[in-house]
This record gives sequence, structure tokens and C-alpha cells, in this order.
Amino acid sequence: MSRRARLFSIRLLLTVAILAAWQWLSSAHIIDPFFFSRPGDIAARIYKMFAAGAVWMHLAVTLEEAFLALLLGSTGGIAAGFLLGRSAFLSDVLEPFIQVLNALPRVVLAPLFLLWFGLGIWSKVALGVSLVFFIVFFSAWRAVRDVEPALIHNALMLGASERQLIAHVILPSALSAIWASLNVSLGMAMVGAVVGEYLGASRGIGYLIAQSEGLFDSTGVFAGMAVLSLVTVCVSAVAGCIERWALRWKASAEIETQGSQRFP
Amino acid sequence: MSSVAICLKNVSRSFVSRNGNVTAVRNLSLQLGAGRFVSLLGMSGCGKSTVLNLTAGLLTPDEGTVEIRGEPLAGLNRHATYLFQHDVLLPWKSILENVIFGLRLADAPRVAARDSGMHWLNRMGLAHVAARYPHQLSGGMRRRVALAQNWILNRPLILMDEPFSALDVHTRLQMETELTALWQADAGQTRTVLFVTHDLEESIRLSDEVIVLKSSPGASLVAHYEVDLPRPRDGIALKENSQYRALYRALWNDLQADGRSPQ
Repeated sequence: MSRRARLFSIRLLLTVAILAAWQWLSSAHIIDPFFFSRPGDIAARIYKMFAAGAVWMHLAVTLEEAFLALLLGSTGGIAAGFLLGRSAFLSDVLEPFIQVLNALPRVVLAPLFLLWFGLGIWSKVALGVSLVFFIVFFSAWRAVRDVEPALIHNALMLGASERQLIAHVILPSALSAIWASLNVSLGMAMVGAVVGEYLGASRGIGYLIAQSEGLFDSTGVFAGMAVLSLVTVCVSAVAGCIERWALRWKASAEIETQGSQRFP
Repeated sequence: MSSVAICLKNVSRSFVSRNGNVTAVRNLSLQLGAGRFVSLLGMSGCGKSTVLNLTAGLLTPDEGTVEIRGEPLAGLNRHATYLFQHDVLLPWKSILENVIFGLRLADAPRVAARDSGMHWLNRMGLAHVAARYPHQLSGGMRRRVALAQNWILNRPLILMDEPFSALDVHTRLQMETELTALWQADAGQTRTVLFVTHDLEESIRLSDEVIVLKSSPGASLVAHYEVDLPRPRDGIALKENSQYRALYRALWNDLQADGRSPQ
């Protein structure tokens, strides 16, 4: 059996084992099915949700909020990171302010955002942006400052302008760090959307979960959670494909230098 | 041939460090004739690279002036390319793209730049790796690519900061031969090379002139030697040459004196 196939079968086995244990513990009333539900019931509920069709609308709303938060937050984070990374003066002036803002627990801002931006999608987007921005900003800032100075000097001596320096040297050099932060941000954007919906909304997966919770319907809560995680994992997988394509020069470098040690 | 390519007048430069100000270059005056191959020789950490960075315009002097081809240097030195000690090929660009990087920065048309790049890769014996990435090449090959990246711009000054110090002895001698061939191939030999090294033999093998710098306090001029050995120079045959040995001894004594001087 190839290494891949073996890994896959072990993972499958582990999943089945966990779900079976859960099902059995709950059915045997060792844990209370009222609080913990059962995998079978949750699967049935998910099937029913999608069969009824309303869940698509809620999912679309949550994804739209998360996508907007990711787009606005990461664009702002990257722009600010480059600006401060390239200007020692700006970063000296602004650093304490950024630290204070970042130290703020963002979730407590959610009610304020609800007041400012209303119950629609923008209060959720704002919460997502406040989470995503700082993750992307800090890694972009660090990545820009950490670019090998010799690479910059060489490009300057070869005649690069500031714009060319960013396009040819700094951006590609910082890309893998920024991309890693985008992967984390993807999860955070979903958190922003769901927490926002949870606190006050009339649509979205977070709203569905909050509703189920209000009815002590643990099956519904688990079903919402499962749908959310599955969707997030799928989106991450697509992002992973794009990353492998964008950083292909790097992937081949890693395989050639580490391959022999990783796969003896 | 008599025109002056690089002229440093009473140049000083110091850096702020944790232990206070450190003087890297003190009251240094140099003059390099156009078309000459000049080595700056000195112990490690004596401020040779600072001299090079001042000439490149990457640093500005605290005192004194730097003149390039008769004009005071303001900003980066646009008459020079700089071969760095470290590997500075961009890992995300192919070998060909790296070679033509400078041309593309100057907005040269893509097709013409690629043709020129392939010509240079052919000349360096690297045409077969044009589409590869830098990490797929050996250290010696990467240095050749860096040489092509510099030479393709056809600028009159070439600055080099111990460019071959990371290579093994054999590759290093090969690279020296190639460098000399490149430099001599220029019509009329108008290209000036300022070559920084701590390797005494390398400086004699390559240069027309060797300038010895001492390290404390701050790089300053110790001695200036003409190397009047015929080219092409063979590293092995050279050791039998009495002129070479006399020069070697003189340079050795200069470096020894610096090593013993109090910090």
C-alpha cells in the first residue's frame, strides 16, 4: 500500500472509531443524548436541512460576510504592512497605537459594531475585518522588514525603483509569510461572521446555531457546527491549491533539499 | 586610459554601535584609473566592504567626497554594478529571468532582453539551465549567473565584494580565470574593477594594482602595489615567479603588521 493510501485508511478508521464511540456512548445513555446528541441524528438533521433548502441561503450569507471580511481585512493589512515595513518613521510613530488596538479583545467590539452598522451583514463584516486585519498586518509587516537586505541592495544596484523593488523582490519574498497568515485569517473571518450573527442577525449559520441553542436543540447546534467546519475545510483546500501554484518555485526547492530526509 | 574612474578624497565613515561609534573608514584617499583591475586587500572586518558600499552609493561618507568619472557621487552609483558576497539571485525567478533582471528593470523589450540573456548564458556555458531556478544550480554556477547579471548591463564599473569566498578552491580558480577573461574581452579594456578580498594570492593573481588597507582604527591606506605580471596568469606557474614571491612577501608583511597592531 502506498504511503498516501495508508494514511487515508488510518484517518478514515480514526473518524469511524470516534463517531462510533460517540454514537454508542450516547445511545447507551452513558452521556446524555439531550446535551451531546448522536452522530446519526446530526447527519439526519444535516440531510434534512439541505433537503429543505433554506440552509443554502444561510450558508451564502455567512460565506459572503466572511469573504468580504477576508478581502477588506487582508487588503488593508497587506497595504498597512508594506507601508510600515518600508517606512521606519511611520512604524516608529504608529507602533504603540497598533499594539494597543491589537491588545483589545475584538469580540467585545461586536455589540458596538451592531450599533454602528446595524443588524445586516456589515456589522459581521466589520467584526471579521477587525480580526483579520491584525493577523495579516503583523505578518506582512514582519515579512517586509525581514527581506534579505542583500537582495534589496542588489536590485537597487541593478536599477530598481521603489515600485519595482516591491513588485520583484519584496512582494514575492514576503508572499509565503503573508499567505500563511491568510490561511489563519480564513478561519478568523468565519469566526467574525458567525459570532456577529450569533449576537444579532436574522440570517446565517451563526443565527441558525443561536436559534437551536435557544431551543436546547443540541442536534441543531452540532449540525450547524459540522456544516461550518466542512465548508471552511473545503475553502482552505482550494486556497492550498492556489498556494502551491503561486509558490511553486519554493515547493520544488523544499522537495529537493528535504525530500531525501522526509521519505527515506 | 589615464582618466580617473573612481576617486575617494579624505573619506571617513563611522557607524553607531552598542559600544559607541565605530570608525570603519578613516581619512581614506584612493584613485582608480579607468580600465584597471584593482584589489582592496585587508584583514576581515577592516572596513573594505564599507569602502565598496561608499563607492556604490549605498552608504554616504561622513566626511570627504566620492567622485565617479569626475563627478561627485549623489545617490546610487548608476555607473556601477555590484557583485555581492552573498547569493543574491532571486529564488522565484528562473536563471534567464535573473540574468536579464537589470535589463527588465530598465524596461528593455522582453524579446531583446531574452536574446541578450541567452547570449550571455551561452557565453558562460549555462544555456542548458536557463529555465531552472537558482536552488537547482551549484554554487559555482550561481556565481556565473551573478557575473552575467552584472556584465549584461555593460556598465563601466564593476564592484566586487569577496565574490568567490564561499567557493571551493578548484571552482574558485576557475571563476578567477573566467572573470579575467570577461574583463579582458571588453574592447579597449575600459571596464574598471574594484575587487575586495582578504585573500592575498587571489589579489595578486587577478589585479593590476593591489591596495592594502589596515583595520585599526578604521580602514586607511597602508600600501599600494603595481602588479606587473604578464597575463594570462597561471596560478601554479606564478608561484615559481620571483616577482610574484617578492610581492607576496611584501603583502604578507603588511597584513602581519596590521594583525599585530593594537586595537
